[in-house]
Amino acid sequence: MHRSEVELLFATYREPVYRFLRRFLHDGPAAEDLTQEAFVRALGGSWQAGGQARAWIFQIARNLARDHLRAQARRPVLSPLGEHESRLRDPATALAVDAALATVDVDDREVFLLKELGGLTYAEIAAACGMTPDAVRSRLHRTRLALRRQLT
Amino acid sequence: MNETSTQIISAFVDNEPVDPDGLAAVLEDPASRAMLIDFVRLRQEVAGPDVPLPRSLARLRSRQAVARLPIVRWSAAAALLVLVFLAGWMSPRPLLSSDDTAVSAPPQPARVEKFVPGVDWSFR
Repeated sequence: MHRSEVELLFATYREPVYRFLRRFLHDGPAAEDLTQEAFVRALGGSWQAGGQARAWIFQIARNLARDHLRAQARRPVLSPLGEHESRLRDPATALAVDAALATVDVDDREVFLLKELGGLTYAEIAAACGMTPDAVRSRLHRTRLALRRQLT
Repeated sequence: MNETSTQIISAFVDNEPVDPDGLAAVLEDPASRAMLIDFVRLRQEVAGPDVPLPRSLARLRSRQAVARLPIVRWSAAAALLVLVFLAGWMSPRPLLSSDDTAVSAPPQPARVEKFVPGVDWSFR
């Protein structure tokens, strides 16, 4: 893929990709590295995920995140994200959301965060994660209900 | 509130196509309205505050720069080895001076004692 095209993707999607990775991995520095890595890999890649740019870049990012988690051989650690987290309006709620997210199955969490932070459509999430849109709908719904149960 | 109702709310929150009449019917139920508000609130909490983008993401790294990194590291290591070798070679070596004969030859005697037969050496 041409550099100018990837530069455009980078300018458009670096923030949602970073936010997704940061929340999914619960690791700011790793999210920074993997965000760069995702776009650098796009330089040498060709369109996938049904030709949908956003789905494609998120597909690369989630694959990198999965590799990262496998390399660490553990689930994401729920430690404070750093200085930025103190800006939350209600730190107790933020911790509760983190704790609730940690109890959700990793596949469901991934789909949920791709929707909430990546802003992907069902079709894009399906393309990025290799599942059907109906499966995405079902997972999202199940995750929301589970989180709602825990947070209320 | 049944499974279909909650799925309609979830799809609506996700900006996916929903049947307006179906949505209207679902939202007549106060429990469904409460669920809708909870889903919106959940989204807000998950998104959290606007975290500033790290400086490292200000621009895209070049692929060549990433690929060059190992080469640069190996070159730096090789240069360091050469430097260490040269430093060792050029450092002063007191036990191996360039004038080896000066080190190996014995010093000249300052005084020569001659043995004379018949002299009593035990005499003080």
